[in-house]
Amino acid sequence: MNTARKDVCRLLRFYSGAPGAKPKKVQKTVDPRRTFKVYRFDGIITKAQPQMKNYDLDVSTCGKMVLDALIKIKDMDPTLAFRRSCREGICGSCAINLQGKNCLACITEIPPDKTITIYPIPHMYVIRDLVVDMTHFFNGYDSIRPYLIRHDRSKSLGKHQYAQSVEDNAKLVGLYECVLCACCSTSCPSYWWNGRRFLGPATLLHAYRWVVDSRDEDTEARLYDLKDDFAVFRCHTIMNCSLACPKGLTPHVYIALLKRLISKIDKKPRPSLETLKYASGNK
Amino acid sequence: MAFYCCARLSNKSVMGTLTKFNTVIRTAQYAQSAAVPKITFKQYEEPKVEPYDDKNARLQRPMSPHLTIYKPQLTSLLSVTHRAAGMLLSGYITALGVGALVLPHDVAHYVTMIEGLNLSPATIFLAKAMLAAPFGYHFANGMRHLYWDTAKGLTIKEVYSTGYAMLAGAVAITIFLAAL
Repeated sequence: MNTARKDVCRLLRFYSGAPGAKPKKVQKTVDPRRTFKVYRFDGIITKAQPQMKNYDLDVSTCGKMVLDALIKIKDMDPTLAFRRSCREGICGSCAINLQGKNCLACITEIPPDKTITIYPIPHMYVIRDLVVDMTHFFNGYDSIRPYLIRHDRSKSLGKHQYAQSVEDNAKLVGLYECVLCACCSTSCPSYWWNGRRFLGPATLLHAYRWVVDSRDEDTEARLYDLKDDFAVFRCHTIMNCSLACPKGLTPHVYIALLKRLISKIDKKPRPSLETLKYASGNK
Repeated sequence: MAFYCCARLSNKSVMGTLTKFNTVIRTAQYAQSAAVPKITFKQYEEPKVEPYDDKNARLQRPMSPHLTIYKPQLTSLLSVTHRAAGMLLSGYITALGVGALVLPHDVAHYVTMIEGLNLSPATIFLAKAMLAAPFGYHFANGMRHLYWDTAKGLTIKEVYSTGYAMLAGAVAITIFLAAL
């Protein structure tokens, strides 16, 4: 009786999308001949409407990942356009919406379903098929000054090594791995409605990454720039972002911590190792 | 040579006035322009960056589908229900306020009116439960939101487990309020 209840709970968790809850016994063997429904739009020149096209593909003839399937479909229909580069989940180019959830095509296995629906990432202007206009996403990222800033009057930037303790470096784990694929930001309904002024989970993750870096000295200015109604506080802890992240990061946690830093409930701790300790070049 | 040097040292307009020495001057001018290229400055114009929305509106690009295709997940469902419950509660308060201003009779009159309908206790319980549901849900989820504002309970596992616990709590509060 107990195992039956556990199975139900596990299946409930799986179908509700909670990560890390895979059904152990339900290994349904699906016929490898699948149907891929792909969003197609031939570009503004053709004046055609976006539509869904069906492609029948035997997934045993291509690799395991959705990107392999897309490449195979492109062999069948060369007019299909999609972004891809590294095929290992590090460049962030191939973000798509697969079966209703955002993911990176190159590191997501083809799901064991008969029909597989592929859309471009939600609420973005479509250039062609699965290629979307990412300009404002990257503009938002640039606006948070994603680089190290030190208040260095002696103009010796780059001449000295900046020391950082192991504990301070560990704070950056879970922050530096972000590949700016936009899966999280485009899964956030708040970013859908307020995308021009709300920065979105990806950018806020990086904003927190630079605020919390012990070597950065511009914390006050960074937090002041984020202190308005829209940049950070359009986040209503919906948490679609962390469910969507293909790298397993949790933007919503860092946004919550960032909100506490902005509203001065928390303060950034001093670096545990003097940053210019080895500045003279000696050990 | 001296004449040539004068041509280099003086500016061109002075040269232009010496029309008597046409051919010589012209060759001297040519020599000057060959030696010293004329530098002109254009006013700096910032590159015009077209705003994102304007550019896409001009190009009439379609928007990729969002609400219609995105998978409903517990996180987004609970969040949107929280907002809907909040709007319903605002509606209740507005109705109460406006009703107090506008309606001719007091609350007791309307309660007697509803009692006069002689509905079964089950119907009355259901009606009260439906009215109390937004409050129960919004209250329980509100507690969860305040817990998140302390930056605690934010792992996905905890979000899901507190979500289910919250739903149970919401049902409990609703039943309690409906039974009053």
